[in-house]
Amino acid sequence: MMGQSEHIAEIIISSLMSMTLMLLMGILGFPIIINNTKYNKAIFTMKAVKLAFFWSLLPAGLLIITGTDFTINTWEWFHISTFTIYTSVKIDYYAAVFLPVALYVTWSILQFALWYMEKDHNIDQFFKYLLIFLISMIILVTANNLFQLFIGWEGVGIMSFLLISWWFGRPDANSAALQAVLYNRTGDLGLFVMMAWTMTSTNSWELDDIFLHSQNQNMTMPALALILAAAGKSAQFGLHPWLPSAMEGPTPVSALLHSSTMVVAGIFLLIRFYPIIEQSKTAMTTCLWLGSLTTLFTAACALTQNDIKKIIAFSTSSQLGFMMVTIGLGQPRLAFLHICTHAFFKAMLFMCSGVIIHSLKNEQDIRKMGGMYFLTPLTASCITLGSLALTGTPFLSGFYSKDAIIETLNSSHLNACALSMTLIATSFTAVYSLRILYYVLGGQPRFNSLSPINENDPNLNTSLMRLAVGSLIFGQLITMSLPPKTTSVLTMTLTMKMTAILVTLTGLTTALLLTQSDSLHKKLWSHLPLHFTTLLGFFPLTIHRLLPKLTLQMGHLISSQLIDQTWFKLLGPKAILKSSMSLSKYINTIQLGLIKLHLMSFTIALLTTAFIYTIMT
Amino acid sequence: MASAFLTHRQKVLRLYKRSLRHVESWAVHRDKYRYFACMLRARFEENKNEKDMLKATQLLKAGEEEFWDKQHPQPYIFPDSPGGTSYERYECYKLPEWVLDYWHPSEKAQYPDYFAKREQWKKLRLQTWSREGDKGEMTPAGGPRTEALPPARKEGDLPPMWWQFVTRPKQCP
Amino acid sequence: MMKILTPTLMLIPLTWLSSFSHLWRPTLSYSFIISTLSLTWIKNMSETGWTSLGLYMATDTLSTPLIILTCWLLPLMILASQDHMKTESQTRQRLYITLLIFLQLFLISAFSSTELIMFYIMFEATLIPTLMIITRWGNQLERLSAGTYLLFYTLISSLPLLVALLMIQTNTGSLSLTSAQFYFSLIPQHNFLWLACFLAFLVKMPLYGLHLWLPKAHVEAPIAGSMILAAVLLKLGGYGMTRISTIVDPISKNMTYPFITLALWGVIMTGLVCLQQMDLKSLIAYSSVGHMGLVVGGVLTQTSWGYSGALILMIAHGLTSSALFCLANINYERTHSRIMYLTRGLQIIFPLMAIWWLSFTLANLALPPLPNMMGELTIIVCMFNWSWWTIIFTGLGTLITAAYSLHMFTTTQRGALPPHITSLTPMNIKEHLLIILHLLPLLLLILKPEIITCWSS
Repeated sequence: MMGQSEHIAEIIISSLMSMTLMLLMGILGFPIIINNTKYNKAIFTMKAVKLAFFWSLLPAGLLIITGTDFTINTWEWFHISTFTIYTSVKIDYYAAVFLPVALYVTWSILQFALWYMEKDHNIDQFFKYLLIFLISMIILVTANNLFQLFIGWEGVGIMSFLLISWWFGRPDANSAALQAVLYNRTGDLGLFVMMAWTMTSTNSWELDDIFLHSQNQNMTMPALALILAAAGKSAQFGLHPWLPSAMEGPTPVSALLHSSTMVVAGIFLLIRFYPIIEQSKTAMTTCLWLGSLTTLFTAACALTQNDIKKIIAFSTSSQLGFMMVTIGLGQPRLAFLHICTHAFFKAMLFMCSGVIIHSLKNEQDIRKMGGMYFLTPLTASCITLGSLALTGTPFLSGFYSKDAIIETLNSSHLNACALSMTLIATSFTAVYSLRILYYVLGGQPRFNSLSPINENDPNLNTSLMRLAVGSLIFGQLITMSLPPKTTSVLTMTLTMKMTAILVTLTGLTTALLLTQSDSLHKKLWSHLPLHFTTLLGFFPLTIHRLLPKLTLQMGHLISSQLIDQTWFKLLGPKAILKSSMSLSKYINTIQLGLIKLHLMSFTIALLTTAFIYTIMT
Repeated sequence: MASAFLTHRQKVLRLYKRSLRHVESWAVHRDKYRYFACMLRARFEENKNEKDMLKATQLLKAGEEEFWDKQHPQPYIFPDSPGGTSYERYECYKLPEWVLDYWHPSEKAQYPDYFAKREQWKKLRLQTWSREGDKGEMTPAGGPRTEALPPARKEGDLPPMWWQFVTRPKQCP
Repeated sequence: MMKILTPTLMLIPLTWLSSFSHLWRPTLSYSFIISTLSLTWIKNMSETGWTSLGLYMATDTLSTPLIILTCWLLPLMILASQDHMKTESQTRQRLYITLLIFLQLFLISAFSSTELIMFYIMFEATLIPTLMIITRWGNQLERLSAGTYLLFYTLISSLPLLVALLMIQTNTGSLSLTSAQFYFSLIPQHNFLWLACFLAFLVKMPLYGLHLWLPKAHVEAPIAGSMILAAVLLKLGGYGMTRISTIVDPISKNMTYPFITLALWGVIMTGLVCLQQMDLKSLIAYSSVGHMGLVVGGVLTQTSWGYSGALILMIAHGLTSSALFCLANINYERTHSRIMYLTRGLQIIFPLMAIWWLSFTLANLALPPLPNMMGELTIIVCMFNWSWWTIIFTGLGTLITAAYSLHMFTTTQRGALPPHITSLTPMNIKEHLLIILHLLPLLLLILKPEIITCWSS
């Protein structure tokens, strides 16, 4: 009896869930389809996302109340011989928590974009692009099927292409967009391998089936393939240069795609496929190392950048590496928590930088800012709050995820080298955050005196404030309502417990001391270490020139000129031409109309035949 | 660089300006920048009156080398200068003016005044066209840079290439 | 079967008898009606095996999509070539349309014949109208050498097929596809027989190494020629290979190795050629060679996944590359140049056309869930299953495909408008319609890909 009522409750809840998702998609899809000039489309889109956010609280609420995961299979899409591909949707812990977070952030960013992109002629199109992006993201997050996941995965990649090259008249923007797609595609190879592998070994693309059938197999190859895919999307070391270049896009794009949603898709993939990753020790170690390398390298790069958006982009990249480390530590839930908290304050940081850039007439260089503390007080407080949350100040949202991760990291017995690299990167976080605050907010203004500084726009204010509230309370909220399933470490020495804060404080003090020495007129330039990080480890300088040059040269010299236009032509048409020409030349010489010669040879032949004939008989 | 065509004075001045810009990139705060700018100026002033060309050239070469050695890896670039963050950003909104020729009559009818004026402009342009080409006066590559019309050659005449200026797309939306 | 063939045949008198001022409209609407009629075959495809079985003709799940594609393309070709035929004389215009109709006739007969020898004849017959279209209506002088290339490559490679067919006929007494399983055991299987049977199709596909005729023909052909070549004529090769592989099972699996290797290597090499290509039409043509390389690989693995992937990719690529050629031609009609660096930044002038370019670029680089992706993915998976080293080639191939497709899009559409472009006539509804009619089937196929996948031999 008990089981039956539970069963009924389950059916009711799952149908509620599916209805929710349908409605969500309906709400979001509506502004794309309608073409009614009666409304301002941009505002309409923003409101639709707002509605969708409130609607998405329902599955999250159900999850908190009932505490169960749901999978909803809906539609048999198509068959390829005996293989069936479904569209199936999964709303489990990850999807149910991520959906409201993403929608909340998107809602704020769209409202911000109403102000930021106000003068753009194509603002409606911009909102449509963002909305299509959001829908692909939702497809990606709720997919319970590799093919469906792939649709969302590629969808966000292509939307990122379109949004980065939003100002398509600018060559830099176009090349940055192309760069993003190419790096992502390199990562997609991993997803191809994964799909091919699951097809051959488990004969299904449904996630549950994959996990079920992959119990007793060697999972190293698919796990590494997944890590490659994640590295492409989440800009891990080796495939990282596209993320700072992607800052060519308008600031709302950077805030939405390149900080809070699209770039975390890679980490999200690893979280989704954690049951596969954890089966391979090699893959776990790769995660740990890749993550720690990324977080250290990009944090170091962030230290010496001067473009405010690039600093924040590198900080994002560093946090992504941090999440990767968390997965390497075997804590997907914590990584997921960090994705969510990170979304709030990083989007807010980007929005703040957008306000400042807009106020200073497109100036992005922090060397030409300063004194914004008095000029844009709200932005200044938001940027401070965001930076504090980023560095993991106690009881802001970043603290709940970051501190937990570092505690786990400290108490784990894994590779100490990788872990200490992560700790160093953590201390760098404080340094570059301080650098932004110091140069942008503090000191004397260093920009032109006629800058249109104005932050008194309701759209801007409310959206900033909304994210500020999120950065303040979300961590507390989520930890209270959905406690992590793995038991956290309970006994630690004081130093270990305090490491996160201690490391951050060390970074902060060192940086402060350095700034003080900097203001003394001692030395002007420094050498290689600075060049190394400022020029991103010389990575774009070498790889971005060498590889295209090699490829294009190979394409031009070898495949086009040598093979196609020379060898294939010589061996095919030209060879036939030559041989038949020489043949016909020989035949031609006979056919010259020399009647005597012909008759003579005929007569001789006849006589010889007759002679032979007579002898034979 | 077209350094082969520059005079020695131009080379020195360019080096000075470049160094100043890079000092500005290194020294963020204005006080520090002023200090180093003064130092730099002093170093240039020191050899200002060098008459011996051989020595001056050597000094210039040494200066160029020092500059190369100490240049900033990420020098400050103004946002709308080449290489800057918003350079050519608004190109994608610059619709050329000839597109208006292909507007549908019903679309044109929505702005009757403008198109009436435009027809007159075009007639005027036909008249002035033959006079403009033969003087070899051209607009710079990529269109005129400023709003200001160049001076007319005769009194009461239209400025040369006036058409390019009146039909220039807006600089930014 | 006759309900399509007879109307197609009757299109010819319509072309010649209708008055000149009404030449294009009735042929266009008539051919549209035919293509609508042909859609009824989709219904029968849920059954396996042959349907609409006649004495010599029948359709099955493999041939139906290709026949429908052929029928779908005739009106589109007429639509596309209307503009550049304006200056021609009456008779020439009529002749042009007639040739296109003949092409459709031959293609339908080729795809639907159940006798291999009829298939062979029709396969060869398609050459004649194609050759005429290319050498008569091409734009440059090189069209003559393009015609020669096309003719000789195809003819030389298909002669062994004739011999092989005759040999099978003498041994078994039948060349019928419908009863192949009964006389299959009588065929004297030999490596050379296999090679003879496949070579014709491998050249038609074209396999990398035997592909020289294709870029030439594509570049020199008028728009209708490029469209039909890319969309359907290449697919004759894939179709033929799939068909013939039921008759000549390779006794040694090793026979396929060099060809699969070449095909995969070709994916990368043609991709590299595309990357540095300046000529827009040539780029699209080389991209076709690369995609067809995947099809060759899929078919030669001889698994049901390979076959269905090849079929999906053939249909999807047919629509995509045909549309890309149309777009290139729309550009060409306005700027009179195929060089990409001279026709940049068009998005500012033609925002809607930029959307079409974007859609087909994305289709070309296989964006899920477009059928292009389904096809490529199926083939990649099937090749991976065959040998997992292939993922290096197929994966790199997709990467390069993305690179050149987006390069093509970025170069032609993005960036500032170069100052030398001072007058471009706007796109008209006809051109939009032409592109939409390419895009629509592609999008609709997402909803029910089984129409083009479910081929079980």
